[in-house]
Amino acid sequence: MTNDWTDDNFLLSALSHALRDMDDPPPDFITAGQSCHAWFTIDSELAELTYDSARHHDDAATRAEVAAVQALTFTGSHLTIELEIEPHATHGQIVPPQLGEIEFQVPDGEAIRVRTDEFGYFTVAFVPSGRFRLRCSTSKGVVMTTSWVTLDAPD
Amino acid sequence: MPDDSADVTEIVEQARGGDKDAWDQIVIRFAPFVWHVCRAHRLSIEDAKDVGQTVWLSLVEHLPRIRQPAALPGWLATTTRNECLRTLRRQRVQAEREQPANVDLDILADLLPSPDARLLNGERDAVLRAAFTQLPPHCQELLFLLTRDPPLSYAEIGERLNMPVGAIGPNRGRCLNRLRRCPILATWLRADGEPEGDALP
Repeated sequence: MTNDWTDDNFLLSALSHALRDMDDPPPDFITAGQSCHAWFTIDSELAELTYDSARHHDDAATRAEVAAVQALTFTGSHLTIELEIEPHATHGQIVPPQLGEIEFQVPDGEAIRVRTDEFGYFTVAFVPSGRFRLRCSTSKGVVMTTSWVTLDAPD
Repeated sequence: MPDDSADVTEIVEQARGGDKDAWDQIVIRFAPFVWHVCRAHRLSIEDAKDVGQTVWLSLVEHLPRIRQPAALPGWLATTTRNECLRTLRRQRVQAEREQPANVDLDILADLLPSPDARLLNGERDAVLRAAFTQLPPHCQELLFLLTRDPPLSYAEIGERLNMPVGAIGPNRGRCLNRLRRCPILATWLRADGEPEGDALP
């Protein structure tokens, strides 16, 4: 076959070779994907990450402050969850204030649960790192899950 | 054993009702594509696995909300690509922090083969892979299916992409044209044809 790059068949076979040369996905890539089904929920509302202090440096007074506390906001249609992640603990509040339970979920591990007080506040001696999401269920019957977020590993 | 010929719409419908088998089938069917896009972006195996997890978690989360099951391949292609680029950006930020002198590489340059690679037979493959990652998701998905070994029939490709069989040929031509015109490939082809490289005005 001549190297005629204007020929579709030649280009496709060259691409074919380039892509075929690449490895197949390892079996655990597929099984890991399949096991993600464990996180399937149909009953809960989804809240998106709408604010992350680590990505809004301009809003903060100093970079040092940003480094000490990372603030995240998740917004759903019934509830907002504010998180402040400090070096040794995580504080948060659900708005509007109400009693409820917050669960920190990580892809391969046990969930951490904490209850909010009547003002919606909660504090837990747990600092999420890597990938996590929150699931929140309240006394007023709201069940909400946040999107997965990935925190960069501390330096 | 799930029926491999079931079309993507049907599988997505089942999966979004919570059917684990249908979900497994989606992963089996699309994992090679996700993996491959990661590797075409030259991610390490560990980073590719990480991107994979992000993509699948995100899909599980959005599944009940997907209104157009036929849009799944495009959604997967876009999400995977964005995650790859995010990983590359993160690596670049880290590299800049560790080695501030090395700040002028952009992502495109990261994808280009290094000068040493010119000596290797793999250079053409590297250029083609890099050009491939620059294609829009629908072209990546179509060309990926067109280059499988053993080859897939047009009927099967049409089913997977929810594309009429008659549209595959014309799309194939358009996507290959875009590949040819990708700056990485186009530049390389010019250099390949004119080794002196001084013919430019």
